[in-house]
Amino acid sequence: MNYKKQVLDNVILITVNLSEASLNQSEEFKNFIYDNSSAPESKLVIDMSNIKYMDSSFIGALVAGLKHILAKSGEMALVNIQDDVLALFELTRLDKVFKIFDTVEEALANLK
Amino acid sequence: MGLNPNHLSLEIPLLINEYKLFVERCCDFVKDVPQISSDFKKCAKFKLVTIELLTNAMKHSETTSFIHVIKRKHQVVIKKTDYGKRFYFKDAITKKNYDFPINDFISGEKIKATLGNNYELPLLVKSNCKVEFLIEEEVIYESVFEIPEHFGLKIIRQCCDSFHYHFDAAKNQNIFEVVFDI
Repeated sequence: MNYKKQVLDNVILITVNLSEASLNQSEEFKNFIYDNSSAPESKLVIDMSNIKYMDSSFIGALVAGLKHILAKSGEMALVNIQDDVLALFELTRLDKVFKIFDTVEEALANLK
Repeated sequence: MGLNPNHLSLEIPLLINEYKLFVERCCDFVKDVPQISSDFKKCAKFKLVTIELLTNAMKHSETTSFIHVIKRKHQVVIKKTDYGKRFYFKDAITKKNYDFPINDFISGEKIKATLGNNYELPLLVKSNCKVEFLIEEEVIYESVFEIPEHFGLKIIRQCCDSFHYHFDAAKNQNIFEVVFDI
């Protein structure tokens, strides 16, 4: 499984089990987020600790997921982003758009 | 013919299962360029450019592509070449679609180009077969819903010192050239 889902109280924690997150997985990942945020006011935390390489297609899937969740008054946070991947968020200025936390615990506390 | 120690060429198949192999080969090739290998930010940008060119190759070329890394005295250049689909864009002002050669513009003219679904990138016309991608002015999105979902070329431009697309009409070859000054 490329994605592991856990429900913690009212928050869905998704762990991405990919070291490379790219064009090959972006459509599948977008659909996975959509499927797990179909209810109004969904709260998703995405653990990205395994991702070593990410491309613009996958970040595009995250943007699409965020739009989908916000349209339903939900919330989404990203956690455990490796430095090289964080550089991609900073370059695209998406670090100002996404809620980004160092740990799952911090993200859960923020979204609850 | 001996291997050129300053030129690495890698064939990019239609489908890449592992980016890591390509990225590590490219990074390994520039490990003796301390301006890149010892500078975390520049190294991260070099990796991102490599990743985006690989994605671009898979997404748009529809044929086998090549990545070339060339070490020069004051530059490191990454080129992606292929004989596939030409680069195309839409003029954001006139809404007209273009691919190369472009004959409605003169050298030195700037074009506000729309790429992908809804992102814009300014181009500087160098000739009817060559454009330079320019850094866009900061875009303030009024809402998250306006943020584009495709922006690979924009990422490349923000990582490097210059970025050009050249259509070699004689060879029917596409060349994306990314330059890092060192």
